[in-house]
Amino acid sequence: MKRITVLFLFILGIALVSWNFWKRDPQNVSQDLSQSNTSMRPISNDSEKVKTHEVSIADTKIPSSDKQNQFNHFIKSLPIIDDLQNLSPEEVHHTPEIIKDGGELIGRIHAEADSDATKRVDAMSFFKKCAEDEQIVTAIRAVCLNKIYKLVPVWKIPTPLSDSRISKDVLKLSHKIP
Amino acid sequence: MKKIIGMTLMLTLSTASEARERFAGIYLDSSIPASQIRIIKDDLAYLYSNPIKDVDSEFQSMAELTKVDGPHLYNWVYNRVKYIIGEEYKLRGRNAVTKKGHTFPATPLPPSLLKRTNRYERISIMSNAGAELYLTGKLANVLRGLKLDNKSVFAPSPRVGIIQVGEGHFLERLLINKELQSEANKIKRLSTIFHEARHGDGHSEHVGFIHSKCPPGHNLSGFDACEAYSNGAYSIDAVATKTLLLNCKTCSIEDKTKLSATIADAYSRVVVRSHLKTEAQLLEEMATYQRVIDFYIGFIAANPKGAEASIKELERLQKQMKECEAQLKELKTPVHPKKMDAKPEGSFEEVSVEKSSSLMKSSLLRK
Repeated sequence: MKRITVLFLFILGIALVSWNFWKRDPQNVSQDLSQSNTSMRPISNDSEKVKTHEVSIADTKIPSSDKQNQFNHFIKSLPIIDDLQNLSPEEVHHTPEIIKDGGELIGRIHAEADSDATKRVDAMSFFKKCAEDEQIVTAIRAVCLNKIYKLVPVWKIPTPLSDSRISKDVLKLSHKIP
Repeated sequence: MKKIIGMTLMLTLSTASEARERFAGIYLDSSIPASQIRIIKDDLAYLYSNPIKDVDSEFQSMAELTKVDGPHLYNWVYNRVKYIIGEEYKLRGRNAVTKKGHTFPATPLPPSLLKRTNRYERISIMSNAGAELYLTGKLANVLRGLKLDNKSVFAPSPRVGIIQVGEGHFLERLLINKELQSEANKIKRLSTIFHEARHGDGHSEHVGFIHSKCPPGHNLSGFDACEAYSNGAYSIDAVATKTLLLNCKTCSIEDKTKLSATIADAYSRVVVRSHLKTEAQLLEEMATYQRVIDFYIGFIAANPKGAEASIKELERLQKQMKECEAQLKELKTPVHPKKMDAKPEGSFEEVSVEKSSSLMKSSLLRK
């Protein structure tokens, strides 16, 4: 009888210890895998995020290299100001996901062109289009402009910019980025 | 047999008490899932142990640090974060405590607090619950607090240091890359801690360094997601991220760019003007208004009878015109964001770098 009591108490103790240990373990940290990719394509395949706004640079004669630029179509994936206005107050309190996604896309283009010199001209063209597009979110334009300033002397690719298309805010922000 | 019963009971009790724990002096509530606690501990340990070599030039003065190194950065955080609670912790009901008869500092509250419309009902990433308790308590003239760490923790200052952390703080899609424990993700999460910790500072009209409405013309116009201070939560967020990024050893080009986007975004929230229109836009607006004003002046003169509606419209347009003139004047006057005195109001405790370092070292030894 004594042995049964001891055994019962021991099992009860183990059960309580296990319950305390496991009760706080989360189910999982939810993982959104919609963006898991390593290849160069728009961050999100969600058609809602594919922008249809026209790029503000209106060229009547598009150079053939512009048409063939492998990165230009990604401009549509960068966040525009209207996208921010559709977010909730909670979503904008810290950096919105769409701005981080934009940063990731720019980073991928930079990384790809960094490892493959043949892609650098196209990458710089992309950064220029991004910096000069008044519809794109200011923070993203600043990142693109920062890339141009950093990479022109490194990649040695001249990339003249249109002053009238780059506001003082974008210019100022671009200098604050490391 | 008595020994076995005693040991079983002790084991049970000790495990139950570990559901709530302290790390480096910070109380981590049992409402935080175990996996999140591990990440929080690692992040804080990373901050403390970081051999900072490159520092952003503004960081030291902005955060009033005597030195920028791991122990000092941890001390800055520790003086503003004493309790971390999980998303499931209810800030109302049984957890809430109040005390009447408390005398709050006789300082004004921020005007934007009184006009605030977007009170978040759900935590997604992180919030400074302590500052919120202090501000709402002062507004209602009741000392508010929460039941934490087996006691009532009241908020006699925004510096009480209660931070609520949500699932969003750990979500892959809201971080920098897929590796939860990567250096880049630690930097992102720590910058959020710096941001929320800053809300525990300030006094009088800038108590809590609460955000103000972004002006017309700003990307986030209409949202309470801007600030007019040079050392507010977004500014601290930006410089902390910059400093940690400058010292990141394993950040890829993608990581750095993504973090750069968050830095640019944070800085873009620091706005001192009431509007962001350009001179050209304002002049165009004023020319448009002037043409319509000129018409109404002529029309009213020619048709004085029954012109009440036109007179009213003229007055409205003249008011708009005056507003444009004021905005133009503001544009032509250089303004810079002000650095505010970050000292918090109310009663609070600050510990030395030695003390917070000692707490961290003990926890690291136990880890």
